[in-house]
Amino acid sequence: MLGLRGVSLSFGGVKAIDNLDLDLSDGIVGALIGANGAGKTSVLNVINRFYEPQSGSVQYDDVDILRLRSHQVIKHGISRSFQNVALFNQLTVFDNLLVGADHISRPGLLTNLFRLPKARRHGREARKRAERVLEFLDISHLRARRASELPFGERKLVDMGRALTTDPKLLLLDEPAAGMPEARHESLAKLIRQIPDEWEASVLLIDHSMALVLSAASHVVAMDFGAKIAEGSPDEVRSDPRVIDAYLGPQDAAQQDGAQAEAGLEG
Amino acid sequence: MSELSLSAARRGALVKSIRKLPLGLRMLAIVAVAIVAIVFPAFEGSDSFVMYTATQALVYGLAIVSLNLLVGFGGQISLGQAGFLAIGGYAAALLAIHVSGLPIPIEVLGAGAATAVIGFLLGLPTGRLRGHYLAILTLGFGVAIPEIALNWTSLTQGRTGLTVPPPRIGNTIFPTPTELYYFSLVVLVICLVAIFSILASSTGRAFAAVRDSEAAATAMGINVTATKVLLFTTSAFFAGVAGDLDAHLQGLVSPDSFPFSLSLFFFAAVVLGGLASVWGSLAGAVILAVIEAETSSSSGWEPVILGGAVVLLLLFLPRGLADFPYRAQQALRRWRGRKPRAAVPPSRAEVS
Repeated sequence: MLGLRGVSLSFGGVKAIDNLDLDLSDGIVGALIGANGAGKTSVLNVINRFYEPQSGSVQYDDVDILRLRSHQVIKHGISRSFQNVALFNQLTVFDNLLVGADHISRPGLLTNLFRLPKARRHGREARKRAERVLEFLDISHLRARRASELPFGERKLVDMGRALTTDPKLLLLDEPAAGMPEARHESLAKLIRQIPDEWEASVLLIDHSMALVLSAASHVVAMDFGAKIAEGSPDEVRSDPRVIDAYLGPQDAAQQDGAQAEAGLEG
Repeated sequence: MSELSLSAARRGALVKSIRKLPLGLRMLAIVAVAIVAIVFPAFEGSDSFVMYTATQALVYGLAIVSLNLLVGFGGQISLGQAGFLAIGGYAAALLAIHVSGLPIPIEVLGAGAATAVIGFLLGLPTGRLRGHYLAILTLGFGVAIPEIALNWTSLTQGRTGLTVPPPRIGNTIFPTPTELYYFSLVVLVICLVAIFSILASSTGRAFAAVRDSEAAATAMGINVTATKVLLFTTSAFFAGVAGDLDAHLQGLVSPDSFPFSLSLFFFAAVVLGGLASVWGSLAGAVILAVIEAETSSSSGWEPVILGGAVVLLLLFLPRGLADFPYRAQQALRRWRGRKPRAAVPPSRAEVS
């Protein structure tokens, strides 16, 4: 159970997040929607400690996340993917996934140097986990490819896979559909819907593509200018007048009300 | 952690990927190199200058691989690697002089460990620095160490330096050029096995992860600062061992043995050989040792020739010597593919 209370973050005079409350239950796919600059990615960066909020609290189960350093967040089960894809470019797809699995037990340098039983066991388990992720995402054929060689859409999949190999309890996905052809959005949404059951992890998803969000998520929070403007089931949020205003501007809203889902509500 | 900006993830990769031959061919090449290295003294053992140059190539090989760990595999920079060799060399000399009957494996490990401690201390601030700042800090280190050696006369005998006895195990000593060669070869091979073992493990992946994206490495639970400190410590250990070998090869350590230019030559050899390539670094070491030997009678030409080699190589083999086998294979394929086609007269479209 993730809970943000009164989180505010600003850069100089710009308010990126404004007094945000956010709850995400276990075992579900939640989504955060909003136009460019609404503060969605900033929320993820607060949760995994890249940004230090000026006020508020972030609680995950019994852990006060704001007391952790950013590399410790994953130990409490929170993993993430990146909007702009931050793969380890010179490593193969498989090695990228292994880095994700490496945090589960981190053998020391000397343990690794002498290939002690602990290091060998870690290697076996990491490889097993990475194989399972390759299969789940159907990217086994890319395993030996260098990450830098892949097209953007596939890099996004590998990025998501790397976050999955960490054995997360909560997976933060930052625009997983960006750079993917629209034809693949539905299959991606299906994959994301499977994550709570197959991987025993809840998902917090950010995306511009309204179609993807509506299809994948069961709980949606809409943001505008850093503040929460609506929350509820996908249908409730989609028909909320404030959400329509934020996406389309008030004057167009009346005419375009019906067309919004099809148009994808790009921000 | 707001200073850790996400744009770090988008920093251009320093490392151009080395393209590799198929595994079978690579194994064949490794076996061939190993055979040449083992039988080499049987043909040249009588020529002590050639043996000296060959042993120097082995010592430089370890030094350059240790630097490549930092630069190529870890994405950090060091312009003071000779400083680590100096510490290893002095540690070896002091151990050999003051602890009588010390077995050589203990002495080598001791020299490596002493240097690793210094590497750890240097790594503490460098773990938080990058780019130009790191270059300047390591440069300062490389320049400072010989000065310290020069002035700490009670320990180092100042400019006179310390005479290093030949390596010994029990009562057997190994003073001849051929014995020194094999001694260095054995130590180098053990170190290479250790380095490959580290690089293939989760530790090696953490080094590469920090190199490729600090933000993503952090999100994957890697403590970036601790990993950089560990990388510096590891690199220093192997550089210290190289310093130990060098001390025995020269028979003397003095402040003049480790000029700042040596650090730059090592750096050039890393680029020459190819970033993140152990084999490329070894090839770079052979070239460095040969250039040094060929220009030993006309001092001053060494940097000119080495600089020229780097410029030429960057023009024709931008990924370094390590890329040569792949390029040669591709060229061979093209040549084979063209032969039958050459018999057919070119069509008009091809001519125009």
